[in-house]
Amino acid sequence: MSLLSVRDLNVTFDVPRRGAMPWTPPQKLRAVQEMSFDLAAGQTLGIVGESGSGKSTLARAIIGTVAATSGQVIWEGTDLSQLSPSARRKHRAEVQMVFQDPLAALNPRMTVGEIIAEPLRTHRDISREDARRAAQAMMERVGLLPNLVNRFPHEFSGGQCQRIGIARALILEPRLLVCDEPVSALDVSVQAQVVNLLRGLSREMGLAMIFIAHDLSVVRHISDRIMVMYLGRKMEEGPARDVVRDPLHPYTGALVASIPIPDPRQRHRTRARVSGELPSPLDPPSGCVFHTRCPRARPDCAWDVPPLLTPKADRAVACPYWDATGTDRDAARMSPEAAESQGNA
Amino acid sequence: MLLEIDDLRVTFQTGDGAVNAVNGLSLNLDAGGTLAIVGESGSGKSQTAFAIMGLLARNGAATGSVRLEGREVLNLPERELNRIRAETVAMIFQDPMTSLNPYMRVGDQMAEVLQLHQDMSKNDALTESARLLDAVRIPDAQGRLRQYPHEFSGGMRQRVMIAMALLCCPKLLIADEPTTALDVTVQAQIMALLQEVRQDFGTALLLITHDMGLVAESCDRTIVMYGGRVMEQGPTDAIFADPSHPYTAGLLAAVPRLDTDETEDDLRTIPGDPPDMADLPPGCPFTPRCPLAMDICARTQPPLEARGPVLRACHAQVEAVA
Repeated sequence: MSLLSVRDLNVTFDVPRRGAMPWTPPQKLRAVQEMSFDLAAGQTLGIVGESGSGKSTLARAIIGTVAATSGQVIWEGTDLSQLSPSARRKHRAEVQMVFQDPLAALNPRMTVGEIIAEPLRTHRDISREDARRAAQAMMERVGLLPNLVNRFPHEFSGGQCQRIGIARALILEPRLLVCDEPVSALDVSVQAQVVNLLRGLSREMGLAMIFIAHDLSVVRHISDRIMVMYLGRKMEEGPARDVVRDPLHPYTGALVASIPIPDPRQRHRTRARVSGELPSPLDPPSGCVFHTRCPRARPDCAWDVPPLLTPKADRAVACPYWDATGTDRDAARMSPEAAESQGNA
Repeated sequence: MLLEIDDLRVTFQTGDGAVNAVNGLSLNLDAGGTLAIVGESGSGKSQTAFAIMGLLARNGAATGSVRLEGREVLNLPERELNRIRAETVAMIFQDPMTSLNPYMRVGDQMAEVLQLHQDMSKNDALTESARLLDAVRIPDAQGRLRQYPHEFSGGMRQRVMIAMALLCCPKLLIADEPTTALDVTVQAQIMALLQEVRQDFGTALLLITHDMGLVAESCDRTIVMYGGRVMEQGPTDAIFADPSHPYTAGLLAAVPRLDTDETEDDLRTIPGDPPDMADLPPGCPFTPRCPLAMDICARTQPPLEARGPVLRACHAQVEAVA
């Protein structure tokens, strides 16, 4: 049984029309549409997408800070929406979150020790002294000096603040950690430290992770599986390495091709670039939401929402022409060796 | 030579004492050339650009020499700087929304530049503005002139900024993290556009960024900065193929890459945190994080020494830098 299953999840927000009469019905913003996936214990799922793709809303719906409009979030076979308030409260200790802006996520008036121990004091019946000791032990695990326990967040750098956020999230020994852009506010050299830390901790503690980021290279590094989202819908899902090496959906191909490679020798490679920008989620295109920017779009793409296909074992793609995307897949950036081994296969 | 900087130093007077944001930067940029200044937060890369443009904050002071087409521009009076800005050098910033006036139509803001700098009539200025919006591939340029910045998407706003910077055909375009606020697919479009207009207009590009990928793709020469000092500078190809400074090597190794298959290993990291600019060691600012640090490193700043086409500032042997 999966640790977490999401079934046909929809999250719709009501957006009041500007300047309209109070009785006119609000516009519907469909942030997440018909989302389904499974996450096994100890696995890491990376969710990639541009801003406005609904990835953060999906995370919030999973941890329950945003109400789902329809669909189910199932935790070890139990539908979370059916839980009683007290059971729900108990469940919250199992799922914790790490946020993007490390400093903004910490209370500036609490010491680091208090911040890290707070979940313990909320969820467990534990003395102040024991909580403090547990906090110090956790600080050591995330690479902070335990004697800094009485400092305040502003005395730490961005990378250290993110370590504090991670320590707070892990102190209850959750089964699932949801990380929403945990490294995008950090400098490159510090980003690598935090990615390694999260990877190491998830292995040590058998932790499942949902890792949300817009940077496909970071996501591929940390994830077992990758899901690509666009305007609230799943475009593609599969094992991390395969999705990047052999993208089936044209949007995934475009994402891969858009990331600059730090190697001047590859400067003149041909890249499949997509035109335009993300359409407004308030007025998404008909049919396949990507067809307005898709290099492979055909007239019928605008008619029906493409179903999720499983063209290969363990892969899912929401494009009936995934095979025709082969041409821009080849043009997409890829190391010469990788391209060669693919050609031989 | 279009841009010559010699021993530029930027110092800020703050409550914590004097902070040296840039320490002895020297560089040359040919007309039509491309140069990247790459570094993390606190490296001094943006302050270098602000010093060239005369845009330092009030508590900042610049010394040294910045020559544009042979003419000294550092610490010129505001009146004369205003002539140089736009006509010789123009700048685009990270966040296009905060650089555009939200209360003015895009056409009016653009025309204002031409009316001020080239004494054009409003009508001519608007026609010219439309031509430039067209040059940066904004569809329906004529109609877009009447819109306000909030009616543009993020990528379109950055295009407007680029068009605006090009209005007076500057010889040098400084782009300070031009794509950091944009999504990756849009980033690729904007970088491609910058290369195209650079060629069309014969403009030199000074790109300021933290992204080693962007540097590799768009600039012929590179300066790597850390803690206000130059660590390494030279041709991009040489620096990326064979980094001779431990910081450059560490930075390149710390970037997760899509074109290799090493997902099983941990990323190589640079231990420690970015430097505290108010509290730098007297020697090399990278010392506390450097895997090759020696006693001498914390005490004396290594001089920039030539190694082939590359200049490097490091006490350690080149062979030790892997």
